[in-house]
Amino acid sequence: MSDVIRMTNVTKKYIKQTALKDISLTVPIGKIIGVVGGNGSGKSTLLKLMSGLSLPTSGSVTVNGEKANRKTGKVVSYSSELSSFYPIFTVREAMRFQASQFVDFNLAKAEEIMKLMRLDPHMKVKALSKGNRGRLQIVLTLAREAPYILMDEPLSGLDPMVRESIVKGMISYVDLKSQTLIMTSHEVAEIETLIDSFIALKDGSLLKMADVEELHETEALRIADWMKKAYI
Amino acid sequence: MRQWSALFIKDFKLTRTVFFIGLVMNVLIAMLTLYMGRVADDSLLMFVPLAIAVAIHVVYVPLIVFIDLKSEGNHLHLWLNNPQPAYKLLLSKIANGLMMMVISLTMLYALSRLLIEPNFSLIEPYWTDTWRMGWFIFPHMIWISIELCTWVMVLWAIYQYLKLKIGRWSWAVVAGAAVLSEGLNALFKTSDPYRYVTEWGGITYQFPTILSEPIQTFAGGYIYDFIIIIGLFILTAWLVDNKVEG
Repeated sequence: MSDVIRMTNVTKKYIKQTALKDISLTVPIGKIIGVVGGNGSGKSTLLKLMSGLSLPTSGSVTVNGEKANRKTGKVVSYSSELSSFYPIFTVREAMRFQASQFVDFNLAKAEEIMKLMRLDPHMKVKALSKGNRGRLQIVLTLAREAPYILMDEPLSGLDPMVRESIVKGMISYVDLKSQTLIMTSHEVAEIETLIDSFIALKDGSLLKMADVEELHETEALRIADWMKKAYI
Repeated sequence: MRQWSALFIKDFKLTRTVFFIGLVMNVLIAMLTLYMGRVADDSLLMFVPLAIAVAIHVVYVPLIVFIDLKSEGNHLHLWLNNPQPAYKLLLSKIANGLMMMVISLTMLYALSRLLIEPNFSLIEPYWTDTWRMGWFIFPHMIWISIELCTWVMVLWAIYQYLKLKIGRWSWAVVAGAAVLSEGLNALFKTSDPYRYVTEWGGITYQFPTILSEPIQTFAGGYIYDFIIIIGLFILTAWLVDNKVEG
């Protein structure tokens, strides 16, 4: 069994659009990977396919050698860009609910991240601001000790003043010996110093997948500058 | 077990508002019955609202499960990312609906007893049959409610599957599928093969003081319905596990 997420010639079509076109890539364990691209480039669809929440129109997605489907949820911790959770729960109840459903959910770790995120454990999810709902998503996703952590726009809705410290905090909770974190973000500059590799998408096609170091060395450019050049 | 009980509590919380509204409506119906008892002047008519309230409970489980599924649909990725097999996720919703239905019916029964006590003379001649009929109706209502519920679940799953394929027309297709399947089902129930398959193991229920004709059911009919229920449930679970996308 290979501990990787592998996409082979994956195309995903919706009713009126093709979200991803013929994507082939491999994601190993032990990396922090940023998925970058403009609006509608297919970032969210890419994560959904990797998490088994979405199914490819053609091609194949495998996680640890098995076809990605609903069962993939056992090894993939996924958070949506919608930052939504059951509004009926309080923050602590939400954590306990996740702990009851996922064997790899570490409740002590969740409490720790919750404190870092300065969330009130007694607050109802429905009463949380958009930013705090985003923080709760981070807590619930990172507290799982799953091999793959997929976060769709985890920084959106967060205050720009605290964003950097939260991102650094997030990274400190990822164990790179056994986990890979893949996150999409519009804020390329804010994640560039933290990520090892990046996947750049444009109009559903894979533009580049490379190590950040490699980009710095070969093109002497930061990701944001490379994107400006590549996306023209 | 901890996993499933947490799911059950979550499903209860998602639907409890409707449940509590239902209980309040039961009290209002009891009050209406009381009022009718005064204006209808010692007539059996006073029990009509209660009888209607009991009959409406046949759609209780499908309604609760539909509300629950609709709520899940607002953040489908959450529900689908749960690693438990779909049959467990769905069973939790049916069990929650059933529990609520039984509590609501029990409450109606308790309220009926309170209302009947002072007017017992009105139904005294029919009491034994009324009591027996209650025991006949109660499990049959649960049975029909579960069957309707499995239809609701399969249609919801088909809708979720189709909405990413054909978009806004998916409701129309689902409505068409519902009408067509009901039509075919009704047609089949008038056919000889249906009678051949189901009309064995006859059970006769007699309520002579209430109904002049006995009610006849068949063990074959129950088995036929059971197969339909299980078939629809398996189809729904398969659709959720393999076709619905979050």
